[in-house]
Amino acid sequence: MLRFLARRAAWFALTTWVVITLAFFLLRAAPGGPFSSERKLHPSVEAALREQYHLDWPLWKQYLHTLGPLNLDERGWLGDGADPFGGVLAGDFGPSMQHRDVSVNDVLASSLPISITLGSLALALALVLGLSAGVASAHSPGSKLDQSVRALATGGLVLPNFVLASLLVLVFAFWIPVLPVAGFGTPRHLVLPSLALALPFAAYIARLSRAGLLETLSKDYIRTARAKGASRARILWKHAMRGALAPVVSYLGPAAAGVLTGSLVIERIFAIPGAGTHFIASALNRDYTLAMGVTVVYAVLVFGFNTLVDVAYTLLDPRLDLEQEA
Amino acid sequence: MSLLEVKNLRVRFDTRRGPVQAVEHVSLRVERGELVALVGESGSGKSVSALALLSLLPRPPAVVETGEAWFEGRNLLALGERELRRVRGAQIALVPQDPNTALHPLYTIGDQIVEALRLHRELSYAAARELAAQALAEVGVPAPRERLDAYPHELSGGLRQRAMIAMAIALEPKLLIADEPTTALDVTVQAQILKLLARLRRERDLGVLLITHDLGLVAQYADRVGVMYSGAIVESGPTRELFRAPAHPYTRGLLASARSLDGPQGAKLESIGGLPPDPLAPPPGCAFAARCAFAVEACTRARPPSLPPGGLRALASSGVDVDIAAERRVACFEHERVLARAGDLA
Amino acid sequence: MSERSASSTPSWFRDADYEFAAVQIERLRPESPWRKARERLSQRASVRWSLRFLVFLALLSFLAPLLPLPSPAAITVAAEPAPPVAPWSALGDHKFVPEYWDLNPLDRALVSVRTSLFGKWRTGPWLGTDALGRDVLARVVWGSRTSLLVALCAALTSLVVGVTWGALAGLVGGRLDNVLMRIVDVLFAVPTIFIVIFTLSFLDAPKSAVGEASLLSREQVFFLVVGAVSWLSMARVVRGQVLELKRSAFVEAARIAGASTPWILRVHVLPNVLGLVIVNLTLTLPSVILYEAFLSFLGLGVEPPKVSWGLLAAEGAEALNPLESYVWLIAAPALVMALTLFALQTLGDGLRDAFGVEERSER
Repeated sequence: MLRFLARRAAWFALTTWVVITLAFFLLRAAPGGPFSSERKLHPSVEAALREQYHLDWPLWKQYLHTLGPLNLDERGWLGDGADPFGGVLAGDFGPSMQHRDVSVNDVLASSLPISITLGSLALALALVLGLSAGVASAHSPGSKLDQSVRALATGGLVLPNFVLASLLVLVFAFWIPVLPVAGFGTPRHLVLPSLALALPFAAYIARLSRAGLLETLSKDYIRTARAKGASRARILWKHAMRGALAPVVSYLGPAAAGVLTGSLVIERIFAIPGAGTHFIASALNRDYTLAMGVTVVYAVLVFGFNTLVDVAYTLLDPRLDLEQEA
Repeated sequence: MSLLEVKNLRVRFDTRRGPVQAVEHVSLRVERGELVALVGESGSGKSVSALALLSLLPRPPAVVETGEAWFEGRNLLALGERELRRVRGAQIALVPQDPNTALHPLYTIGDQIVEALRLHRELSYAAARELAAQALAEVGVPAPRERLDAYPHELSGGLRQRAMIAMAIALEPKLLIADEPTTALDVTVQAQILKLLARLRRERDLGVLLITHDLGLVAQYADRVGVMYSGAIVESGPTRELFRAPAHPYTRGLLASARSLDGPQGAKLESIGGLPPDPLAPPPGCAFAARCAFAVEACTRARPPSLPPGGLRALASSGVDVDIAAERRVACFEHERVLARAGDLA
Repeated sequence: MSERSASSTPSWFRDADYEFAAVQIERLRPESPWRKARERLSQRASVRWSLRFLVFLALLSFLAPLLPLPSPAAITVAAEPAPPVAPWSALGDHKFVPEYWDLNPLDRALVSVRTSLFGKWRTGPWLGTDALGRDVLARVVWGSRTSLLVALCAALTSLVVGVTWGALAGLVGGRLDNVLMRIVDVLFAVPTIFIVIFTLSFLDAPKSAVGEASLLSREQVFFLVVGAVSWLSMARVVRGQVLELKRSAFVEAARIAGASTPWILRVHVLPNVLGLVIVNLTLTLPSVILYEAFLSFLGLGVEPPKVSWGLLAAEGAEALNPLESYVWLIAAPALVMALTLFALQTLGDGLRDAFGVEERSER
């Protein structure tokens, strides 16, 4: 376990570094800058702003400055003055370039919890809906129930999530006005967005678990369980489920990344003040620091979740060894 | 009353290309403490017959068309799922063919035995674990208590099969169905497992239905034997007698090929020419006719019924040492000619 | 050789792999995967229909400029969205105006053929019109070109880069394998959406700063980016399969029998990998088409006046409101998209069954 975590940590460092570097250079390579798009600033004001955010520095110096708590003076040497900026590696993303007077960390602190709430709710919902549909389907393959579950699952997989979201809004907010359309605050506000976000993943999980269950149910050890006198429900839930869960669990990694991506759309549709909004806006506005902050946080979230999934996967199957899996 | 009496079992498989008669008119009997073997080549329907008794065949495609299986005064084939569950494991236990796939890979050995116990008896987990350890000890698993926490992949093939047997006998069933219990194991381990089964049936007065294709095992351990070919029992009777004087050409062929294995070096290996018939299009007459040296024209027209062999008496009177058992049955029109040449084999 | 063994295969053991079939299985050499796949595929009506639909769609989308459709870009000022009209009540009129965006030479030629064939005749608003008076049918047909092209692009990158990458790693093995797969691992861990959004935003926003300095159009970058992120899982899958094959008993047997490496590659490895590649491809395509829709919704897809299904669906979704339900604006693109993805999925499922590939999530 320790070795696994150590290797994971090394991977984590490497991945984060790649993400930071990619994000840094892609952003700087893009035409325009944080202060060029707005209503024309006076050249002296713009110069002052550029100086304030160190955009007048050479690129390598900006890069190092972004990375770490390095105090570099004009000559590129380590200075001794106290720079309040801690650097990305220390978890300090600095001041936002668009939202004046607000630090990126503040922006993230106010918006990220909302996104995470929405995302984890959607994942849980996808898991619950998908698994129950898959089990119901596999319980009697070929039945009416099975056919309708499969049809629904297909529906969830062939439509873009904003279309699904629009349909949900149309039905539950306009035709049968039981739920609020937009905003964030009460649990009721979360129902439609998390459902819209969850549906495609629920559909895929239903497919995976159905296929996994049917495959597992044909195994020899299921016959052993039947020969022991176990009931059908027991066989399904205890003997088949555990084996069938493996593909579902390993799908959770990509699903988490997908939920984050999907939340960009869902947050926009339902006017939810989450981090997704900043994501695109910051990239388009060349808000270098905010874009870097959102990117790194998302990458870290995805990586952390994948690590959790790997651990869960090993707990599920005693034949796997974390040491080798790392 | 016999422990198990199967009458007229017929099993069909509805496959995509049409129905296949996998088992036809199989009747057999197992007494308390008796080891009965069903022997035949792969595809002869011996495993299907055994699994049909506990309704363990996948349905579809399997359909049990007719048949009765009387066990303790109840017809197993007429029992509902709930009653059947009470019989499975508790009164009739199964030792499967391949312990490598028959054990759940994600649960410990102990948990799997405990589950079997607790499905049928009101036991605390700790008490069931104790019983499981005893069962493992009884089947000769060294350090049984530690093994309880082992996962199947941590054990050798032989130990896995012992664990399967422990699971089977933990509830003290009256009948054990052993479906080719040694096929997946090393030769040296095979003998140990069979010795274990033989010991258990002696000590516990356990009826054993042994499914196998290994004539050597049958000769050594079985009290009685049924020979299956293409879904039907072509010959049955006490092992010793059947081996000494086979009345069906197929049995004769099997024995000849088995004996040629033990023959002098350089001697030609005997084998039965040809293949079993296509199960989708079985011939109207005897299924073995096409491969049979004794076949006459009548054999291709009608299936021979299973009857006591008349020729045995003649054989006995001609001086060959054969007990005349009422138990013998053979399904062959020409069995007298086959018997008359019984001496060739020995 | 494979022909003979396949024809003598007893059919029933596929259904019931029970004891009574074991011997026959042992006697047989493994069937040719191609033959088996063809046989199984042809048995499925749903697969046949999916294939027909996709071919029809591809033709329609390629020949879009040739069809007597209204212009997908001609705007009527101050128009209201108009609901669909049945073809029998409004077959068409003679008001066609050839108004397009910058077409490539081939499409320009097709358009001129169209004008000489049909003149000013155009079809009626069978699927309605949008808020700018543009014909929805024309836009859906023209939009299919973007969506299918994106899919094609991703497919090509998957094939060229993904398969080569994976096969190289699997076949050569050793250090090269290690390096190649570690690169894939890292790229997998980098959330692709960042790369896509950053790259796409290159060409976006403040034009004043650099102007039209870049060599590539927005679409070309878009295609490149989508292609660039879609080959990773293909590389992994192919490598896994190649490794498995390298260790398999029949390759071992072929090697012992003295078969040369090219022979083994051609006879044993290639056919077995190809099935997996095709299956993986049909599973990649739907996700790429959905990805296009996703990017279009965020305003990062093709630029108006050009159209794509994603753009149409996004416009339709925005036009939905409780007072005036312009349902056709979302129904038309959503329906063709759903049908296409459904056909691709059915085809993929059919192929997967046919090639006996397990469903599993790739990371």
